[in-house]
Amino acid sequence: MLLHVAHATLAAVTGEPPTLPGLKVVSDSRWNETAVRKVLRTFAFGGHASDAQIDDWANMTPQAAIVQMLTFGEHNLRLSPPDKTLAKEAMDKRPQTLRALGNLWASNNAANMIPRADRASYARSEWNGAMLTWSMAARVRGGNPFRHRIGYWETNFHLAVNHARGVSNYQLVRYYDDVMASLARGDSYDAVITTSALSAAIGQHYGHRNNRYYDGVCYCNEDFAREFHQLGFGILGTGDSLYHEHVTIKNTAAALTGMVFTSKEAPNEWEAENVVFGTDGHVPTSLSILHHTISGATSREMIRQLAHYDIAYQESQDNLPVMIVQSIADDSISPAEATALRQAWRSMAQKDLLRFLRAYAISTLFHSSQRIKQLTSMERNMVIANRFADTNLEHYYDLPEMWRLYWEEEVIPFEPWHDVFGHQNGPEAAGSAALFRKNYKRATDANFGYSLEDFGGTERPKDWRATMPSDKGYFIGTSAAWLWQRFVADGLKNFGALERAHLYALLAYGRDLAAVLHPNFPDTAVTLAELTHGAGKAWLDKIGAARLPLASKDPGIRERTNSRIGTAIDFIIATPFMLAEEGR
Amino acid sequence: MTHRFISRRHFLRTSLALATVFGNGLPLAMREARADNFAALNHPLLANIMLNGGPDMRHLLMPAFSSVNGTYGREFWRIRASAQGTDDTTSVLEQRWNEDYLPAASGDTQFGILKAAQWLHEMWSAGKVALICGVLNDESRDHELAIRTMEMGNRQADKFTFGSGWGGRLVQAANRNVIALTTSPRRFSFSPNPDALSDLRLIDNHRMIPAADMREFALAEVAPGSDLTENSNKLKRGLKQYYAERRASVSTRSVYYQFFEHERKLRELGAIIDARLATVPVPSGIADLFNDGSAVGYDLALQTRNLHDAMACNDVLDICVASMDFNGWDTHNNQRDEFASNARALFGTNGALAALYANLREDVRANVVLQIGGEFGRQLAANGGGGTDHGEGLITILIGDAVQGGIYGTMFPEEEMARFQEDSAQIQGLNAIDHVFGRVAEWVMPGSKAQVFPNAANAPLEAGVDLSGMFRA
Repeated sequence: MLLHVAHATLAAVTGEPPTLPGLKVVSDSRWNETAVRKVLRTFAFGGHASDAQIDDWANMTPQAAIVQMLTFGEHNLRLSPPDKTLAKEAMDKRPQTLRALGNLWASNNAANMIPRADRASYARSEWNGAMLTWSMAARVRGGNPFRHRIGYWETNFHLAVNHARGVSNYQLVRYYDDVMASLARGDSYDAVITTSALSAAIGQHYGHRNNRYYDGVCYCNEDFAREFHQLGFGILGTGDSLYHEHVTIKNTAAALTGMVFTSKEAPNEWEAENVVFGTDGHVPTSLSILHHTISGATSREMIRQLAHYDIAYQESQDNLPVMIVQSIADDSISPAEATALRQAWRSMAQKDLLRFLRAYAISTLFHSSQRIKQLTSMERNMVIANRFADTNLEHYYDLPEMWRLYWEEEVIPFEPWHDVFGHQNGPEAAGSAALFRKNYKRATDANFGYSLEDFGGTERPKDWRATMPSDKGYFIGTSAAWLWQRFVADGLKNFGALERAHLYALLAYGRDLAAVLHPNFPDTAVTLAELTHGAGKAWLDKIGAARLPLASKDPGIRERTNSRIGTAIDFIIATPFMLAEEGR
Repeated sequence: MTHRFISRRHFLRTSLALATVFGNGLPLAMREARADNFAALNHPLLANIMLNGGPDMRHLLMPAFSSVNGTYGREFWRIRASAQGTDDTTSVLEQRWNEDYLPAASGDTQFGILKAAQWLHEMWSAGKVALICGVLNDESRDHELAIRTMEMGNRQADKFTFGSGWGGRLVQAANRNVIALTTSPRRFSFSPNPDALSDLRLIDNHRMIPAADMREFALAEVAPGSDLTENSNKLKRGLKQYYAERRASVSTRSVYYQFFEHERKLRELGAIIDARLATVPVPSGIADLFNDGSAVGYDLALQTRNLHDAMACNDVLDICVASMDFNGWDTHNNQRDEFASNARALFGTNGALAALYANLREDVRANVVLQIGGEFGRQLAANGGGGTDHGEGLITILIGDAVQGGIYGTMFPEEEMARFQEDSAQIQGLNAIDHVFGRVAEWVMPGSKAQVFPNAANAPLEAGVDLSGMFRA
């Protein structure tokens, strides 16, 4: 384990207020259920919080709510209550590191609920071990989906490494767990980046594990020497390019010398997960980097020291906060918004990622109609999975069909599309008609509409009574609105007459809208004009008020109703409003 | 302002044209297309292939080896020895040159093309390859920024400047469309806002056809006679009608509008493309790219097939630009093997471009140019890891029957020798993309350079370099 002395104990452990200069807190009146859901959608793949918990957060001040919602601990039981149907599993008491979860899910432990035939795939010795473990960890109830959402960003975007380019599962898991432990400890952000930079995964991917310095000659590549500053801290050397290219990068390459990989668990040397920072082959002199003198007997000592200067460097203070928000939450940052983010970041003497994210998540910037977030394939599929499944078993048997993400949309955790420059981003996903088509096909395959869920040959009906609120019964209108809000979380802004009509037809009749309203010419679309006037409007009002027989005593009717709810979900996820969101 | 791609009038015209394929009174172009079901190509078509990572074209195109110390041909090989996977030993380097490079020349410039790129050498020998040297894109050596400035054709862009691509501006100028054959469209193909053409920051993608798989393009429809009580069919019909009706109430500036556009393009063009490609089989040489053991990976094979198919449909898609990419060129380590593998996939005799070219009719070849390059070049000297690090000046490769083969710009500047031992010395960029790509734009659409590269007036160009002859008259 890489142990770093935390430069400060920050919000994660001291309860620093989740506010920062430049980031105006959204008013209490605008901090409502939808605002809470938007935070969860962006920062926790939708999360697993109950409707009651979401209402509780909405009724608190944003400052009080956000410190409960976004935490770096291994468990956040408000955000992700345990699955009480699986008492033996006791996920809320188990370590949530990828190493621990991979060990559990690959084992024959009686608490392991993963189907027996799938277990071996979770082992680090198997090709998909790390990616499957992360994917499940981010969805499992009793963990902390916010933690894994940020972990995904740190290791697949910010300082990304690529399994397909030779980084082993042992290295990936160690990298991920060390970074998340650093965040959970409350290390300042330069220390977190240092943990990343000195990991075996990074050393393997960039190849500086082989960098050596002998007799005044650096047998090095400059790859990570550049990206440490550029990707890690946002420093391009703008305005100082000669020094940056000829001094800073050259000398950073020299600083990254002398590493030796050793194995604790990995069976082979190439996939070793432990780094020993040796003096043999390490540059023996101090170095000038970023106009500071960096000294140290090992690369670890030098990089730790260097990170202090990087995080304080003007270009980093300008770029890093914008890079973080742009990559996680906002595809369209205006110059004024960038200025506000920079002010907030600069105001922290010790950079605290959690405090920054919290302050941003309750700011008027995040809850602005100007904010646009186009969902990546990962975000969309994770949100759908988390909002569909209300038990861990559904995830273990992949009823939300995450396989489509990997094998159809070709988005695989730890195999970033752009290698060290990160995974598929939101604008890419949104710009791809091919991905649109795949999502559309998924919806029209209508798998959520199956009334029975298949748990490895044992079929059980999906029962939405477990989550859908009842107010003296279930009604078509309120049920449709609840489903929309559960998946889209837009405060029903885009849930207009046409959306309502299509869902009402599916829920009330189990038929498509035209088949209901145009039974004699069902290939003619029902228009908005029809629905906002006269008979069409009356029909909407009438059907909206009709009962949804979800609580019927007749199991056949219940099963049929649950099937219709599933089909309505299939419809919702195919709409444009599932593919992007606005801040307000 | 006419948006040829988006207009329903154009769609109807296209549909009618297709309908006539099966009727009487075919227009001339369609009659020609009918002969082998692959449309005639009667105008220039540029296929832009982005090699992400900053390919070391100096590795692909090495100076002729010399055993005489102090000559460029010896000293360059000396500083590149580790990237060639060898020690700096004259005999070993000479052997590498003799065994792994195919000799080529242009005037006094003697060089070799990596043997893995044998098809490129054949095309060079046929006078169909132009090598534009010392091309200047971005000076930051930052992949992300350099790719963006390259694709935008805007060297003034900074870390947070986004906007239209030069391919998109080119099709706007040509009043045609660009087809994006990558999984997700590259910024290169983002067209400008037609109402504010001079504002490079604004995007409007009406002219962009995203086609990651030409043979899986159309959206699922309810098949005639299907059981409409099945959930799948209810959803197919319901969603089709929903999109058709809802589209009109969504602002074109809404973030959601792009999804309505995807749906419309897939729905409308899908039928047209399916109809055409049903009559255009995949040539066996291109189909073979997908085989196990092929040097070409799936992604490049798919894009190659897409390009073939897009050309087959060029009349109905009304395209004059296609966009592709190929990753994996950031060779800081193990350059010898990694570069050879990539070069074989792209330029080898069994590679993607050879397969494509071999399966194009002469009239199509005459109007297609492949433009190939990365976001920046590398440093002059190899690093200590068997690779090369980020630099500046790059080489752009143009291939096609319409290309006037030769070297443009100085391939191996003698002045470099004085910098061979300097730290981080780079290949210099002297010829701004504004001029180099601007010339390509002029070939596609005469008179378009100023619109596509509005900053060209102040962009540098190496003294004595004349790009006007890059294409055959």
